[in-house]
Amino acid sequence: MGKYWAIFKITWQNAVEYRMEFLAHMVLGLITLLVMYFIWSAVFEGRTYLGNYTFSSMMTYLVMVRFLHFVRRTSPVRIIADEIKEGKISAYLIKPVSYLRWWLAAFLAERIFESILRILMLFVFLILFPKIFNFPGTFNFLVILFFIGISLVLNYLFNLLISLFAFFVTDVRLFRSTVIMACDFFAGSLIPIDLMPGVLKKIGLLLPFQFWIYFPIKLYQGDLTQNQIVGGMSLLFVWLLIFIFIVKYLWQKGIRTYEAIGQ
Amino acid sequence: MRQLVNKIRRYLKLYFHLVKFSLMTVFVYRINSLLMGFTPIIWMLSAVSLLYVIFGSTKQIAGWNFWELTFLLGVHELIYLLSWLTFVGNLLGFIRWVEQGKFDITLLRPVNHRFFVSFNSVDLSGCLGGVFNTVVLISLSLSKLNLKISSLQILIFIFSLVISYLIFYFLVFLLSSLCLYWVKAESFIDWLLESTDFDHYPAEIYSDWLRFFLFFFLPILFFAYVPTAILLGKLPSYYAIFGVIIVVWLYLISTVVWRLGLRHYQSASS
Repeated sequence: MGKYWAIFKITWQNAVEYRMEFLAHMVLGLITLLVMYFIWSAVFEGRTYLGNYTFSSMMTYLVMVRFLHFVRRTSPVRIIADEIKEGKISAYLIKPVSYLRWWLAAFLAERIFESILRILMLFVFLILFPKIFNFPGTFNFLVILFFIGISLVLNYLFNLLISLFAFFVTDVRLFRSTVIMACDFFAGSLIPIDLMPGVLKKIGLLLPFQFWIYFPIKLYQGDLTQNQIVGGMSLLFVWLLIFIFIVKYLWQKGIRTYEAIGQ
Repeated sequence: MRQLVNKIRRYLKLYFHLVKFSLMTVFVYRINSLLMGFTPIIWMLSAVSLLYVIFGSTKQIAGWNFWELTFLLGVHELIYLLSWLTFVGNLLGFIRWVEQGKFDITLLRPVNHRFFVSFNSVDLSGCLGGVFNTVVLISLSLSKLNLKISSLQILIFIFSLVISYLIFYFLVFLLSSLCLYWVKAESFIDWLLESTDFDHYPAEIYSDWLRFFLFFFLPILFFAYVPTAILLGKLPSYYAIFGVIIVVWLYLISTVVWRLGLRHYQSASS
């Protein structure tokens, strides 16, 4: 455990060193938010509701999408695919460490650091725009923080799964960007899933990607019934098990076919 | 005159070889290239879904209907496709060359350096999806819009598309040239590309000050909005002339920044 804690600390220090890059990335995301603000202002002109959303609840949703952006970011897990492709994991395999836990520690350190910056961003929003950004209370906020931990593990497993394909097809970068874009849509980052047209809504509510964006925000906004929460958590648990099973299978099969190309 | 013709012929020949080389690279990584083709299609489906949701409850936004906005999206895709195909990837690569000290080799080549950093390869990776998006969005929306367009309007539209391409080129070139001063300039391009989000939607939804800023300070609205709005009769044709002035202005600034940058360049890590 101590060695993974050491990796966590090193990655954390690295993230602190490059804090300006994280901040620049966060501010960059505000451009999309500004565009969305104008679009939804035009949509809500002369109306109070769209589905179950008011203008203020829609803006809260979109601000929370920006806040949760870090949950679905793929770095540093995408490095795994490069290391497999370039044969660099050989160096890890001869060390007394678990390669997958090594990267989990690094992933959590980077994401937790970024989550602190993003919480600060939320507070700035809360202070500057109290009329368009709703704060439903400390309890809901703590619930979402707890849920983010599970979402991060889900994201790690999913990205790991894609990276492990590098054992079989060598280069997965473009495959990843295509898949991530589709996942992003079904996570509800552009349109809340409950506003999507019929079939897309059904698909979105079955897939695991809703747990990166849509589900946590709905929990935060207090829009889910008890049955929906229990149903959602059960589905999340099932998806976690599926991902763990596939990741284990791909790792075991991949490591047997691994040829250390380039080493 | 003869010298100029020879020069153009020489550069066209060089560009032909660069395109040929890029095609060969794409065919080495066939599966990757094919998959990259899907990425723009997924982006397009997401964007159209958003429009579908928005127009599910309203007929118009700021005077634009669903098919007009789809057409705007199609024009945006066209400009984006042409830009990525020809220069955006190259200029991002140029920033990396400077970061890694590889730009020195370019400076030794017997070719116009500005041409070479801008057009040294053709990025065909997202081409398939981009072409699909452009054809589908533009043809579908035009068939639904039933526009009565004169040949003069078509000429102005094509002219303003050329202007859009040039504005986009000079902006990306200008920002990437900043790497000659500060080395790390990739985030400037990221900012610009992210800002093109403003161009997916009609300018009428933005506040007056923001619209003015996006027309004349960071002329993003010239990418797709201006050509589309001129063709649909929502903007007077003289906006194309404003575009020409901006092109000239950007050409002058980018040339100064590039030349001073070359003098400033220190070949950091080579």
